Amino acid sequence: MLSMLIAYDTQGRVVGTLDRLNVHDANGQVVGLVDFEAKEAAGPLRLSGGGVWEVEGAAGSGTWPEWLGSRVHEFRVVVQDGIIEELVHVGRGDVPGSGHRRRRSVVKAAVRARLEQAQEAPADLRDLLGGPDVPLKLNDVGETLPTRRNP
Amino acid sequence: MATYDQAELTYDDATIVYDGMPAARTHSLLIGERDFSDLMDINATSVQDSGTGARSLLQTSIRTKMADAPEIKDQSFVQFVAHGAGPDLYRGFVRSRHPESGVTPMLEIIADDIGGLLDDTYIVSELRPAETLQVRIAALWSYAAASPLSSDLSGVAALGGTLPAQDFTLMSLRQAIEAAMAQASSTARYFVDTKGALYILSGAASAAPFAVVIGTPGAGQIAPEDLDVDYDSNIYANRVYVKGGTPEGSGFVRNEAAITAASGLIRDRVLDAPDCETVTMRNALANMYLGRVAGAIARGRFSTESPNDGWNAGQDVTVTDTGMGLSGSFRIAAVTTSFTKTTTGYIRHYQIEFGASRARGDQGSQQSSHLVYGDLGVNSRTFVTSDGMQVTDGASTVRVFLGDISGGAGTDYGLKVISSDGTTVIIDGTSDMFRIAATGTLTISSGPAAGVTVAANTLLATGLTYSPASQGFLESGTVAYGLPYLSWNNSTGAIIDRNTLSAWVEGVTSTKVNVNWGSTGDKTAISQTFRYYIYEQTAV
Repeated sequence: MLSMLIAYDTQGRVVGTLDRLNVHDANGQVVGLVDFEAKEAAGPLRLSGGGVWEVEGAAGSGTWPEWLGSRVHEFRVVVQDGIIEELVHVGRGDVPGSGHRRRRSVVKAAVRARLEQAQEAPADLRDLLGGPDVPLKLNDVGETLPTRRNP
Repeated sequence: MATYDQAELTYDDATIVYDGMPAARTHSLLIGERDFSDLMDINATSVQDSGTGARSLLQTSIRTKMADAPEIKDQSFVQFVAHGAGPDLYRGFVRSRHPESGVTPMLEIIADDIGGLLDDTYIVSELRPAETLQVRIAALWSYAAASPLSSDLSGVAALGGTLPAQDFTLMSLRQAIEAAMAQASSTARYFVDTKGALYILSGAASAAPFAVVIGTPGAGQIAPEDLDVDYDSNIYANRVYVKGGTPEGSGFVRNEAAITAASGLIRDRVLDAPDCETVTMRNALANMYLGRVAGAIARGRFSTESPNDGWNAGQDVTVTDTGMGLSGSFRIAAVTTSFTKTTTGYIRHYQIEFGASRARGDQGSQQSSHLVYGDLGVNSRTFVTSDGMQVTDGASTVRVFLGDISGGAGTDYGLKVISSDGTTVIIDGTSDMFRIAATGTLTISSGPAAGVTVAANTLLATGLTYSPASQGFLESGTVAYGLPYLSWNNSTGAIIDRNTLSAWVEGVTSTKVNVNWGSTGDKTAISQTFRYYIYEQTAV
């Protein structure tokens, strides 16, 4: 699945994101978006290793299934076995941290439930994941604000 | 309860009592005002309902010599009623007679339904100004004033608001009605009822009385006596001659890909398009027509019988055969009803054709041509014009125009998108489009010390071989500032803060995004996040 890329420093603080990246064919024509999760599963995300990006000063990077816009910079990542498993709300500047945790397992379970509910039909995941340039809206403590579809 | 008056006949369809006829009759046939009910062979009778786009037919046999039935002559008025699950009423005119001699002389007849008059009424020239659909239909309908068609147009819905001016030249009444409807709605349907009254309605087709399932049927389903689906190419063509209204609007148009696929074999058809007056319109109509006839069309048929009644052409029927891998909703194209006499009445047998609509426009009395249009949704309508294609919104304002967007001057071609005010152009023929190649964020966690500039960078495998256009903004709390962003001390005019973003090719096909933050004051305790966009031209 498509996802967002997050770069983090040695403290786990988010220092950069990549919401989307186009894929070009041999003629330079755009043929789609890079599947960051597939890239992550296949090997390093570092550009020098054949990956897709490199953020100066970052200690590492990984995928995150939600699009949170620049609000993701209020979080610290929790990495297990090279995968970002949680985002912990630690705040930034005038925004105090709440300690709220966004867990990859919870997001993935919600997506699976939605896909099973839709069976073979297309499933609308926008209220669960947001999208490039249409990030999820968060409240002050880093929780997803309810939407009409997902109150 | 309804009362019909036609050809000096009056009856009540609740009690089915006819002037001079017994009430218990199972069927009735009047031709030329003579009752042939007792002489008709109900077992040799069939009624074909072909929907609104073509004539419906009645075929039957009458036990009589032609000489003994002088009422049966060319264009004699025919009325047939099959009581029971209806009643079904057919009104039309004798088209052909076929006498057969023998021990029992028979006279086979074929009749066209009353709606067939739409094909036999021609409009030589009628230029209509901007007006409502109802006014336009009334003007067109006046050409059939002397025919048995009803003058009651109360069934014509008000659709499409004020229609643009339209030229009807050398068109049948059916063609003219369909062309007018195409200006008003892409979803409207029409039919002529048994009294000859015209109805134009909005909305989708009605559902068939039953769904068709191979296997054990459930509620609302039937298992058909047979089900056959084929992908026939009987109407295949790869070159079409458009018979337009002018020399410019007429001529051959080829489907080169289809001709190549057929190893050079050319199959011609004729598209009758009397309202086509330009080369552009000719090519648009021909290409749409060829698109529909250059490949096989899925079509099927099934049979059922009473008491599974209520089938009509134009209904949507769901057909499922898991063994065949078929499941979907199809439009019923034709229903042919035949009868088998029993001791108490008769059984109706239905042969039902469903599937893709036949391509129209071929020569022949049962075809008609009209502008090709598609359904883009409830509030969007698409029209083919002499300059290209137009899409209007629910307020009939043209919002999208594809083709000669210079208004017929031939000086600018392309796509034009217009705002809801009808005048503000969003996209025109010379618009240069960009797409987003990549987007993301960068944070400088600790701002610059006094007199220092700090930067954050990222390298992206964009695949771009040129330094791209870029854009970005700085987020400060809930406020965003476009980059470059400067702030200064108002009292001295000295610049104290400067934020910029740039992007350039770094190495082979990797793009470097760089944000800079400089200040004359100490910002080391401040964190800032920058959003960036990397663009690429769609034409590059």
